[in-house]
Amino acid sequence: MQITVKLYGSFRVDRFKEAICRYPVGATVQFVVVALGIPVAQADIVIVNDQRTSLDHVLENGDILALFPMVAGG
Amino acid sequence: MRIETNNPIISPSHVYYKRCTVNLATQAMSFEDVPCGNLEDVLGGFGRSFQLLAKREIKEAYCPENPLIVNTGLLTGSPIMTGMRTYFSAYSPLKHSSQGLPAAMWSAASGKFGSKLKWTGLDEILFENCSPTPVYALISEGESGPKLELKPADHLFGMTTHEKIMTLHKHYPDAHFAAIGQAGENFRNVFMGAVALSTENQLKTGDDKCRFAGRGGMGSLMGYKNLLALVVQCRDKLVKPSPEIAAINKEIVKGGGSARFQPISQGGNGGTWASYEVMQPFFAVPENNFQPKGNDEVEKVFRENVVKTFDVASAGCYRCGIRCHNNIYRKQADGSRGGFLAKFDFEPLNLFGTNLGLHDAGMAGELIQLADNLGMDAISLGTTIAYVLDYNGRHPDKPLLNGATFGQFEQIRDLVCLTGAGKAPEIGQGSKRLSEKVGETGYAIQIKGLELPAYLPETNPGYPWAIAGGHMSMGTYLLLVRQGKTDLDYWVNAITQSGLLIVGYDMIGLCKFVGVGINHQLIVDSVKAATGLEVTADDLTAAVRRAYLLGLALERKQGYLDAEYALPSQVFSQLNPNIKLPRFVTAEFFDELKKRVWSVFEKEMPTL
Repeated sequence: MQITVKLYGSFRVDRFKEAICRYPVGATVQFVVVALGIPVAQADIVIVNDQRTSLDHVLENGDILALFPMVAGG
Repeated sequence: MRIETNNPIISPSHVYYKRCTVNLATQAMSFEDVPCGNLEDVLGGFGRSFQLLAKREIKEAYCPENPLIVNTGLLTGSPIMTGMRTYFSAYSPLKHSSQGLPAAMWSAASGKFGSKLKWTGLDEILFENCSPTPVYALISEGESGPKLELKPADHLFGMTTHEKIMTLHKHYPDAHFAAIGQAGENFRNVFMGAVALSTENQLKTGDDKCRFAGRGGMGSLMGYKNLLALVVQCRDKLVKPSPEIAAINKEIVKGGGSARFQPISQGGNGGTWASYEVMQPFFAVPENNFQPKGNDEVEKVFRENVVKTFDVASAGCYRCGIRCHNNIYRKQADGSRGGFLAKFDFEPLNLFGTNLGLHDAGMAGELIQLADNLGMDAISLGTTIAYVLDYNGRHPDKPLLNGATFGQFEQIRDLVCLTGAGKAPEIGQGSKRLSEKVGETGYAIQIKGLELPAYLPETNPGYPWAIAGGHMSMGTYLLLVRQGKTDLDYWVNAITQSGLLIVGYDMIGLCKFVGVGINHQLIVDSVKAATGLEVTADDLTAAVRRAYLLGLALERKQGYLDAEYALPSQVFSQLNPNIKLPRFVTAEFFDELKKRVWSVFEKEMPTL
């Protein structure tokens, strides 16, 4: 299936800002995170089709997935 | 500290801290080993200082009875990584209730000063009264224990923070320093004076790379006391970490908690600067006095764009493997590294850049360094200037000061200089006083007399319960961006249970960038490994909670009314359509939140 993946912050470094990627049917967000080489613990904000969700969310063909790293102030 | 027990819960009085009380008026001083009364005393920082402040009746900050308490935390100077914190506590010239009474405050900073202070054998200094002439305090290690001498400081008067530190460094090459700038000296018109602490990097390179205890005007109080600087002269007492401590330090550096602060090259997210890139897609980056415009101008100060013009180097504090901050250098014509410009963190970069309508890293960097050198709190200064610019845009016919509006770099720089010189009390005394004077309080982004940091008030209904600065004393400031939750139960719990625990780091001597909760097993293990003291996660939670609640009770004692636990009214009256986050903080939501939060806290708050 095709997923539009949008990356933010440090996740873009050596990857991309936005790309259409192919994943097996039934892939979860965590599957995509791992496939992209992103440490799972750093994927802090997960948004699918403008809705916040979690790493175990099962993706569907045509979904738009946005991944943000963990941040903090100081 | 002298520790004669391993159980500070049952036997806190078997733990002693060494305190020096200095009467600046008479130069009399005494040293004593003070037995701890509870775990808050043992942990130190504001947990200890607020107990002392609670015993004073202080009606105005600038009075001889208002003490300046300089102390450390239990793990300051220990081999536990990030154990470098120094705390400055007093009744604040800046934060005040509507009754006009000053609030108890603390401010914290890293740098090597805290470790050196601890290594002299001293845990706390209580500066009473005022010196008749400018002095600095020289703290050193004597044959029979720590010593403190007051030395004439006329030659330091009028110097910047950095100049004072480097001047003292020539005389005390093995020492570290805490100093105020001209702003603190002009304390009558500047209530937001900061204290600059020296760093190893600063002393070695000569670049002005201090750390700052900025919040609440502790530097202004030093100016009132005619105490221009502190010098700690002591040999380094680094001990080789035990295998247990080495494992803890490895976990601090490599574990998940600090990852967000590490450089991208080390697999981290690039420090707090990275908040820009995560908040901007939601248009949640403060712009033009906390009013995001919904456009992409903010992206000009993204790291990927700044590196095109400037040389960016990640760096850590002394002995710390968390390379949390980014030093920005100018580039030479051949592309090599030029002179140091500024240290970029999210707060100052935003509050001296984007939030003033300046989308230029060089301009923001120049203002950051100017404010640092003059010795002012970046948050209070930046946010109050934003108020002035906003006001002037609304009143072009009757502007304040030089009439500066958003984006006017030269005029804004003049405002920073004027404020530091004590010639713009409208700004130097903070946005609460100014907005009340001109009668337009709704867009003054402050709560309880302390300016908010660079997170939109409409995204954080927990702000009013921060007791010493919006983001560092209530850990609810990024929750909406990160988790998107909007229900009342979630926010009541976030404020009354988890959010308040952030202040534990302002007791124990470690930096918040360790990135785990204060009741995490890593902290429990750190205390045991470094001191032999056995505490549980629940013990830590309870002590931090008591300390926080004492802080709230102290606010009540200083006259804070229920109405002052409020968000800036523009949150409700001037909805910003550009912010792409749930709009849940309505007046009704906030009223209900207040009832629920107070119903939890009021049952537990001590009576003063």
